[in-house]
Amino acid sequence: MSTPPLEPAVVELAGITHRYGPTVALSDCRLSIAPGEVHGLVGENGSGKSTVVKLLSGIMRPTEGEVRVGGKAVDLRSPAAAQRHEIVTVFQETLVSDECSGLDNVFAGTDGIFRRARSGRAEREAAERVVASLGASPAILQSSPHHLSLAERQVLTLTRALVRPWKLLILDEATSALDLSTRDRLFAVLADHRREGRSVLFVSHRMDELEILIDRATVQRSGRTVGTVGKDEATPARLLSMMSGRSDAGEHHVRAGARSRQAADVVLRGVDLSLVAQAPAFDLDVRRGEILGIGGLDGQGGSHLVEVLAGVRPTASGRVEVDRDGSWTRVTGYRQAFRSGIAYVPGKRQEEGLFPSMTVGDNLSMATLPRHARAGLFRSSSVLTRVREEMTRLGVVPHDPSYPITGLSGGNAQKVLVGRWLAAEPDVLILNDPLRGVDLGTKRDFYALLRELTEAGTTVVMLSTEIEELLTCCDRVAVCQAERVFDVLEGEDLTYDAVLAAMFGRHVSDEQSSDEQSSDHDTHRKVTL
Amino acid sequence: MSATVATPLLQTVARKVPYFVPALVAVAVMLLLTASESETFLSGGWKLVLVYASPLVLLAMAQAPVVLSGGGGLDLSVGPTAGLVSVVIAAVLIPRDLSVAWLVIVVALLTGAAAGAVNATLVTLVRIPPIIATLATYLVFAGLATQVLGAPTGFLPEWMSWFTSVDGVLPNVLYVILGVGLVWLLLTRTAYWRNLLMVGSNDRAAYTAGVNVTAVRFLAYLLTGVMAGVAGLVLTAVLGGADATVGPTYTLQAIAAVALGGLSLAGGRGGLFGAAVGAVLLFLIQNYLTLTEASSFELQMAYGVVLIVAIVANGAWDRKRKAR
Ligand SMILES: Nc1ncnc2c1ncn2[C@@H]1O[C@H](COP(=O)(O)OP(=O)(O)OP(=O)(O)O)[C@@H](O)[C@H]1O
Ligand SMILES: [Mg+2]
Repeated sequence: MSTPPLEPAVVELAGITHRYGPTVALSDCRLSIAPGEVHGLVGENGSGKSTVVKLLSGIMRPTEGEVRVGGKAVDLRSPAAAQRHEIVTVFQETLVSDECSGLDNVFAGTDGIFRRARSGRAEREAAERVVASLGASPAILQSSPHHLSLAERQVLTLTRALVRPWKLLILDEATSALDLSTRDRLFAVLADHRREGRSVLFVSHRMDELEILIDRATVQRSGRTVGTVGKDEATPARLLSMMSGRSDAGEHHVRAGARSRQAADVVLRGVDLSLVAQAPAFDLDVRRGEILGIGGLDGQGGSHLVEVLAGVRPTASGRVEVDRDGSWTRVTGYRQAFRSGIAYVPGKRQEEGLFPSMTVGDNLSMATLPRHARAGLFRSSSVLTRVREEMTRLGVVPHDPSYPITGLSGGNAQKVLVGRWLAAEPDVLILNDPLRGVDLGTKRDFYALLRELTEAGTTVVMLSTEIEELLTCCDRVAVCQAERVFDVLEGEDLTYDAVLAAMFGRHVSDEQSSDEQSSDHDTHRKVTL
Repeated sequence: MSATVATPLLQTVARKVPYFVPALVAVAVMLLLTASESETFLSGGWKLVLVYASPLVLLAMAQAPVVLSGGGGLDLSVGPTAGLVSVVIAAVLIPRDLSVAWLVIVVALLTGAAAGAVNATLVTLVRIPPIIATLATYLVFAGLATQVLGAPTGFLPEWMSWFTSVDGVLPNVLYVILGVGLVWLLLTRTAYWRNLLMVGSNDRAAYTAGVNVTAVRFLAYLLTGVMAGVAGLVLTAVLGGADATVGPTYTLQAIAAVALGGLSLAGGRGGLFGAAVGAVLLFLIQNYLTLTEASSFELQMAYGVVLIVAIVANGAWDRKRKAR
């Protein structure tokens, strides 16, 4: 099952066991990363991937077992120690400080307590080079990052890793927050580094990325290492069956039956809507019981649109209206939208979604507590029953409402966030990239769940950065470009190429007339190493 | 990467204008009010006001590093530390004829540093929440001061009157304050400043980036202690002696001053200058109310109201700044 590495490993984990209190997150974990390889690390949510990452980055020390760097056992007792061994990491959460400039975020931690390692100028030049290679604007280094998008924040954390000296770069689902073009640039940058003999540990749930990028992959299942396979063996079907332990796991790419809805039955609409000042106005209808996908490159208005629809963000001009028993009610704010049956699941899970000091159960029941109240007092037994049901429905692991939310793996935390709003049984559910970092098995269950909901009359609006996901799960897809809805695709017209073209502000029919442009297309789909 | 968005004026202002400007504007207003109430203020009265304000100003500055270091950073013991320093000077050094300037200054700084080191150890190594740890040391230092000096004394060496002199163009205490500010300014030129802000605003990000969070916070408590030592020295001079009960009264005012000065009590935003401005503002308000013959109850209430207004305004300002 495993192919032996050609050269001595850069970094190796041998016989690692790791416990969080009573939870065994890793047992007998083995991993060996060769020089100059991109090594994939895959597994379902909670299978221990981030734990491996934390051990290699010096965030935690293993309960048992050995970490070896260049063949020698080392003690990575802090992130600084890991960096001294030239291991750099981009974590699953985007860890940036909002009070420091982008540049300070990039270089903090490279200095001593007082001594600066580089001059301000050297810092700026080094960071600008990396930012430019990722295709982002150097402006993100100057200002403080509050108003940067998730993708731009992620560029900062990538830059933070890449400006340091490194032989192993760890990317823990670092691509899930990136837009397509930045991701492709990153892959090209990684290809260069790889040729220079540097290695990458790549954690991702996205089979398409794994296929493009990796040389070998190690599969984790419930904290155990299932095995390591070479590039030829690492097909999506094979990896999925190793991850789940079932043999049929690969066959999920069935397009859920998209149904066309009565165009007349509109439940939520934007009229003369303009997302930001001076942006062009447009109309958008959301039909009752449909799953409307929102696509588009990052920063092109997709997340502005969902926020406006949910009342979280004011419109620049125009209005959003929701159908309340036959009459149109204007959406004026978040609470009012919620009372009108619109629930919104935000995208930045850490900052906008979860209550870090509370349990999983509290986090899940947050939005629905009033329903379980009698005379202002909560009936905890009825809350608990409901919470358990919801956790089963979403497959949250561990199945324990009293578990601290901070002890959940990234994907499981995301499930809790989505589950909270599902529990509110809204008429319209608006989701801002809900499945970022969720494994494929759960995604499939989640699509089915959305289907079920729509069958019961709920309407779903879902922003996704993955075209595949939009195609798999949506009835119609509205693609945003330059702060407006550029095109709404449905039925026959809803194809990968059409969505991609619309993201760049073109119609696919224009594209087919020109060969040159359609090959331009392909470079966006596949970057080969 | 993202489309350009026209930002509303207020938001732009909130982003561009430094954090301490609102407090500075308020100070200007208070100066005008005070000048209109007292004729001698502009012609030299302000110097005396500054001398009396100086212990508070220094203690507010002392409070700043720990507040900036985040993680609920706070030092309730700054007041008692300053009190302890003045008791050490007046009841330990002077009676033994150890009143040479350099020795007194060194002992003051070391006493402050020792107090800071105790707090630093409790907070960063023993990991007791700052508010509890420094409440404990508040009680211990205050108790220690009363133990050493039962009743106030008032005998000081000649040279200490330098601190309270207003004969020069500027009052001498201003040089002390500027000196502390200068040392801090030099410190902000080093990597420590970035480390401190990073730790204060997002300690997880700082830690994973490789910043030694424990060392950075330890040092913040130590610096606070040293500055409280300087404040103790000045306090002794201003009081013209030592009184074990005076120091502790400064703690809450110093914290209020820091909030007034625009520092984020959550950490990571602000600086020593803002803390000093906040202290001056607080003192001017107090001074004005005294001039207008307000009662001490009214004074107390005014403090409370001012503090609430400052914190609410601070929060609103911050929301504007961070709005996308
Ligand atoms: N701080 C913690 N306290 C308690 N349990 C934890 C903690 N961190 C992780 N766990 C548990 O350890 C297991 C492995 O988690 P880990 O984060 O490594 O998963 P993962 O493979 O990265 O999943 P995902 O794809 O969802 O990010 C999970 O069962 C998780 O609940
Ligand atoms: Mg993870």
